[in-house]
Amino acid sequence: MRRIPFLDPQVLTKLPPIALKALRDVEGALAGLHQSPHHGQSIEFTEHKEYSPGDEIRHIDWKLFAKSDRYYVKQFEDETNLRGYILLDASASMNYPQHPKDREQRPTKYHYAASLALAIAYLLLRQRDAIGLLAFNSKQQHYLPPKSQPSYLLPLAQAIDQPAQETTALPENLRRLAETTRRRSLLFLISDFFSDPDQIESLLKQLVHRGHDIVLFHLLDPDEVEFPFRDQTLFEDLESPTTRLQIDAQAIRPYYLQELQQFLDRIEHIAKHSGITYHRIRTDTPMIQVVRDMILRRARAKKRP
Amino acid sequence: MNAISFLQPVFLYGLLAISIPILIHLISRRRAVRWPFAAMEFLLRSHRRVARRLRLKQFLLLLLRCLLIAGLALAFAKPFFQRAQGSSPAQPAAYVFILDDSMSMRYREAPNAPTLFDRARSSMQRWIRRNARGEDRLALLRGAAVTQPQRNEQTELTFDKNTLLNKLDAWRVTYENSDLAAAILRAQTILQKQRGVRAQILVFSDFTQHSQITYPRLTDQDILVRFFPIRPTRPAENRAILFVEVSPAPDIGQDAYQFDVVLRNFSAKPYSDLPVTLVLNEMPRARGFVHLPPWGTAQKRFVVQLPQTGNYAGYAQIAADGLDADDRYFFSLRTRKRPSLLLVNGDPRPISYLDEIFYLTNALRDDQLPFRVEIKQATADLPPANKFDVIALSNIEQLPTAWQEQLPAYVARGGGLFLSMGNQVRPEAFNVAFADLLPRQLRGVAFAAQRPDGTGVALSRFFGEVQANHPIFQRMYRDGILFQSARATKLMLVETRRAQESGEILWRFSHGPPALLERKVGQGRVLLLTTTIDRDWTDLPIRPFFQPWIQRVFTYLAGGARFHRGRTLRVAQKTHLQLPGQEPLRILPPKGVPSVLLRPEERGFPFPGAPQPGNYHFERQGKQIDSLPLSANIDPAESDLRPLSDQEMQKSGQLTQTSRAGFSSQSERLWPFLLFALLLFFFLEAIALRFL
Repeated sequence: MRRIPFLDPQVLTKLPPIALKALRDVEGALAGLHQSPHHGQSIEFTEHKEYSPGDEIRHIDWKLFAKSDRYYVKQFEDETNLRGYILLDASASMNYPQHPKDREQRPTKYHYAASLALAIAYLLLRQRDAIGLLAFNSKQQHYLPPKSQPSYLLPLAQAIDQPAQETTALPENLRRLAETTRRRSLLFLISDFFSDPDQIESLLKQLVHRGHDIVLFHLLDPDEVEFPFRDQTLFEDLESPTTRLQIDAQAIRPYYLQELQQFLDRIEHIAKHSGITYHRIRTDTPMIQVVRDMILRRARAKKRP
Repeated sequence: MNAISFLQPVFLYGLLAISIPILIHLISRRRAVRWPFAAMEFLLRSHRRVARRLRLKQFLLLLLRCLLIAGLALAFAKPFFQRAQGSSPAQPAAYVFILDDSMSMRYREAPNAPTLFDRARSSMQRWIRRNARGEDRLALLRGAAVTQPQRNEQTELTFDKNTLLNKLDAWRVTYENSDLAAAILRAQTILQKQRGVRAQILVFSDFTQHSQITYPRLTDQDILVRFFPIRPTRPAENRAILFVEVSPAPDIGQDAYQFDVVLRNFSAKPYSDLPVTLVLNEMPRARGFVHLPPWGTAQKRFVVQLPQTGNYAGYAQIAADGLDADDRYFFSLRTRKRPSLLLVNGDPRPISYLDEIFYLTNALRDDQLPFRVEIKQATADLPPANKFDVIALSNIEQLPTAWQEQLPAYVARGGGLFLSMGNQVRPEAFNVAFADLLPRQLRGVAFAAQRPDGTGVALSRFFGEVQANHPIFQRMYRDGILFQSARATKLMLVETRRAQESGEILWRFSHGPPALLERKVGQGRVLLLTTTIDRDWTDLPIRPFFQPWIQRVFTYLAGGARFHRGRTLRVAQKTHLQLPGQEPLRILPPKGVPSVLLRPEERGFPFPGAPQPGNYHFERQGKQIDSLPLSANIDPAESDLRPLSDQEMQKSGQLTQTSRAGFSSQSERLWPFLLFALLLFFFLEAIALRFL
């Protein structure tokens, strides 16, 4: 069997046998688990609608035409399959940690994010939902439209298996997604969100307004949370190596942690007030725990309007 | 301008170590670890917030660490503060050293330990070797009172350090008193003309209670006076003999003498059964024990029989202690044979109380008295006058001519003659017979007073004014009242004074005429009582004071006191000696002291001062002269070793502590500040690390 990068079979085997459900109505192309706002192919008839150009001819109720000499189209309660999008931040900042020693202990944020993305994709494909992918940075975007074939996992993995580079272009990509994805979808946004919170807030609100069900995975490396550095250190920005700062790490630590906490609180606040599910994840947390936690949280949660 | 100098300036190189924290700072900046990081945004934002504070903190830390190292280097360099206006340590210095070589510096803490003087000398030598530079000039004075020329003094400033050190080596401690104030004055005189130098007076002494360190300033020139106390490590234990009082002890026996030895304990330690020994003519004569309370005095009395007539030189001694010079006290005395008296009775009577010399004999015939009395009548069988010390002629009408002719020579050789009047005395014959001896010529017998009706009945007159400072009256005289209680009815008038006569009136009657006259003839004396020695003319013999008074009169005529106490001087005290003869004399000093030849001057033989305690005899042409030796003793003030308080010393100069090892704590004045500053720097660094 061909090995799929980023996908740990052990994680997959440990996934709970519970379906991942959307917490809002989502629109899908196929019939599935999730309730759709559209009237479509279903056995549950809801009403007739006068034919207008553009309606599918096969939905015309010919029996009623025979009776009334008018074209009516049959409308049914639609049980749609879920359309999911995984938005994966592939900027250079996700490449932390860079030190080989640290990498032995824990993966880079991007690696973790990729694994998480594939695990989610696997979950959705398992329950015959469609899943698409948008892996992005400021330079390029890999877009794979949602599909529900189980074999779709491999293309997804291949699309993800790119080096994380360049700066984050989270606001731009969110905006583009908001513009292009007209159907209500389940969006998994995996990023460190090192970007302007105000822009993120407005775009997320826009997406929520359009009916998307959004799940945020906020990835943080333990170094970023704890800042364990001492002595004089020359910090170099991963996204723009020319930005450097030499500083007594121990001296600045409390101020850094304060700034970071403010930022995290802000992101969490945005998520909470926009009805977005927010997961803050340290990359030293076992993947299975994160996925299980997400599934169970969603299973327990009440459906939102 | 005040200046800081350093005892160990080599440690100032340690200041270069200031570069260490700076280098560490720079190296750590250069060696900063490069670390790619994702959350740079927060770092940059934090840095923007606290960059100024961090830079300040780093600067402060660097500064404090540099100060710490500088403080440490300075502390090791042993800085001390010099108050020297208008001068700086770079200027050449003029040092006058004062070395206390007084008696108290002889103290040693243990039998073989160095004396305080030895320690002071080596401290001074060490100081000179360490601190005196080639361009500095030095002088050396003694701290003891300057009574003798001290050849090891260097009274002029010199650049030659080695000469000074050699002089110090040859210096020996003396037995004299300290006089630091005088030495400081002399030092000021030496430094007075020095301009453009740092002038310092350095005094090495034990600074005890008797040390005089308050001195006047001679000039407004800024001269630093520094005190280096050299003291025992524990409170000094010293006891001393203050003096020995010698007097006859007639109540014990004819030849008994009592020696009262007075001791003082100059320590807080009591001594019980302290042995005291009395040595006379190199022979231990008595030994006793005494209890000496802390800081107290005690007296030990020895009574010794000295039947042998002659000179005695001796000392009292206690067990030696840390300061042994004051454990002996020297004295000398002369005992004389018992004076013999000849009483010539001019008017003997069968009824004893009517006898002319009844009262006189009874007054002198006292078992307690040393006189040997012989009584004769004025007949041809009178013994030779030379056999007697005193001859009393009472109411004499006529003497054997041959015997009478002996008298002037007898008196001139030192004999005493007592003449008393009476009815048998004929003035004309008396004036002829005793022409060379009478204080005044006799004029005739007169009533003291007569009744105004002219009936010729005598009235009495009181005795009157006495010459109170004369030896025969001196100790008995109490406002004259005692002697003025006697009366006389008749008296022998004498001629008024003539220029060539040497007679002196010792006692007068209340109405003016002389009652007692004295004349010195050669070495002898003649006393003339112008009334009777019995009750014929006066009630003097039955007055209560008569007996002691007449005993004194005869003691006086016999050549003064029965014994003679030798003269006692302080060590180094100069004087003129009245010694027999005019030829040069040689002093026979105690062992170890060179003898000196004395040539007589107008005021006597000049004694140059005793260099050490002891009895000093005299010889002429290899033969010891018959004169009492001179006793030299130390000043008891030097025995008190209680130290002056630091406060008192600081009033007069700058106190500099010396330790046994040398000058390890010489810079103590700046030590506390430096240590405090170091502590402060540590504390501030901790604060900077914690809170900034």
